[in-house]
Amino acid sequence: MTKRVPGGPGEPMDHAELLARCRRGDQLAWEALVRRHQARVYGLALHYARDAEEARDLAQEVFVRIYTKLGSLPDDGIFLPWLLRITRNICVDHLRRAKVRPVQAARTAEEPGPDPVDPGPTPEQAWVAGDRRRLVHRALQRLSDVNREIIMLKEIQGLKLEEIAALLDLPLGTVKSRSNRARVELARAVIALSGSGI
Amino acid sequence: MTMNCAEFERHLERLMDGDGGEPLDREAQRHLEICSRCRELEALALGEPVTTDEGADPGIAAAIIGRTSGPACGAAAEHLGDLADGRLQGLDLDLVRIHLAHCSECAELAVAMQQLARQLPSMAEVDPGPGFTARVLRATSEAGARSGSPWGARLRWAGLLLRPRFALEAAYVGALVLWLLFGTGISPLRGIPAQALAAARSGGELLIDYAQPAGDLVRATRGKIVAGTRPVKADWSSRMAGAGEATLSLGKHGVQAVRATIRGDFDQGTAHWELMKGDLRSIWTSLSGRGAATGPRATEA
Repeated sequence: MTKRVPGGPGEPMDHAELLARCRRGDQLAWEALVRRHQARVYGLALHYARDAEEARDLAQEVFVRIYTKLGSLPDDGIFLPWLLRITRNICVDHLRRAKVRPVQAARTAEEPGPDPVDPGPTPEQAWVAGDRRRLVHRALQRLSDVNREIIMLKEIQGLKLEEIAALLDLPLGTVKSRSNRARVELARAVIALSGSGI
Repeated sequence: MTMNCAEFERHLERLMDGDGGEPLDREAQRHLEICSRCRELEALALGEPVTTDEGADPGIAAAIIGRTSGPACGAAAEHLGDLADGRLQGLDLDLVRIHLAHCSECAELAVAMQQLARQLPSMAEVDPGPGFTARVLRATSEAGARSGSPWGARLRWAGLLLRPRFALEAAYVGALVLWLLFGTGISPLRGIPAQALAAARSGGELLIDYAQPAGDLVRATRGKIVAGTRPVKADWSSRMAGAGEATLSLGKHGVQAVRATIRGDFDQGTAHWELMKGDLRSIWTSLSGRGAATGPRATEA
């Protein structure tokens, strides 16, 4: 898997080579790995956390865990699902300790919402995108915990159904049917919140 | 971006002007799959014959469906995910399109799901803000130092012990162990609590009853040890006394031997070396107890 480094020289960075260097203690490689995945980890943590600062704390904890456990990754090809699994587990453990539900409706009402990593929108496009993002965040809060989690892991983070089933300890068929229902449920919530569709 | 009807109309104008591009054509096609109004519009714009349901009473179909299978919205909703992902094909696609053409609610739902299918992946990554990377690097650097230090494991254990849950679980396990040792009918120490309670209630008298024989035992054992070690001590005392005298003699003869050697009187020096040998034999004999301690040799220079 290769990915172009934003702002870097022309050559794409091989992810497997990056991981190998990290295991050898290459600090530059570790920094590059953090920069590559921090937005994704933080984005997932935001869905579980009560506020942005808590999400940053959780994301930091994820990377510390990754740093100490990188040697136990069985296959470099599954790094992203492994990373997301660790993120999800740390966030869920944190929620259990706190024993509160994430109150993201309040956060999205107070903060304008962080912008996506995608560069280059016009101010009007950015405003529209931010407004839609907040709408979707509010709609997500209307879902049940399991459905919201399935949407986050599958539709947002791009995990496969099999990976989600293993992560949530649910049968594959259950995850598949729940995924379809969750998407319909989310769309209905978006329509209800927007009043006249998106 | 998934089209709505207004956008499709603008696209149609560009298409008629020859400015439509391939990505817009794909989005337009997807919109046409669910919007009969825009299908009619496209047909009119392109001069194609338009087929509509205007001649039929829309209420008839709804009445028939209502009296038979009921609305098919639920069945259509099951396919909307695949429709949004572009995976719906063949007869399923045709059937869903027919339903969407006559159900505004499901059509609106389909449009929303198509837009979400494009929007949601863009929400995967969120910039955590300035300073986050440095914060992570600092934390992982500290974690690396801790894991390599001999205090790493102790710190981890200390962290574990400070968790309330760990204390609760440890207390539970401790209570369970105590119950197993003292509290059941087959516990090995089941009689101890009753004895302890009796001793406490006796106001100390029972303790004295237990303490007296224990004290006697200690005194008797001490007497035996002292009696047993007394001859050994006496023997060692005499041995050390004999060895001490021979050691003093050894030192004296050693000094005389060195002085004679320095003077060049080798005969005298040799004689004193021989006396030293005798002293060493005396020391060994005294310490080993193999014979009566002998004093220094009689012959001296």
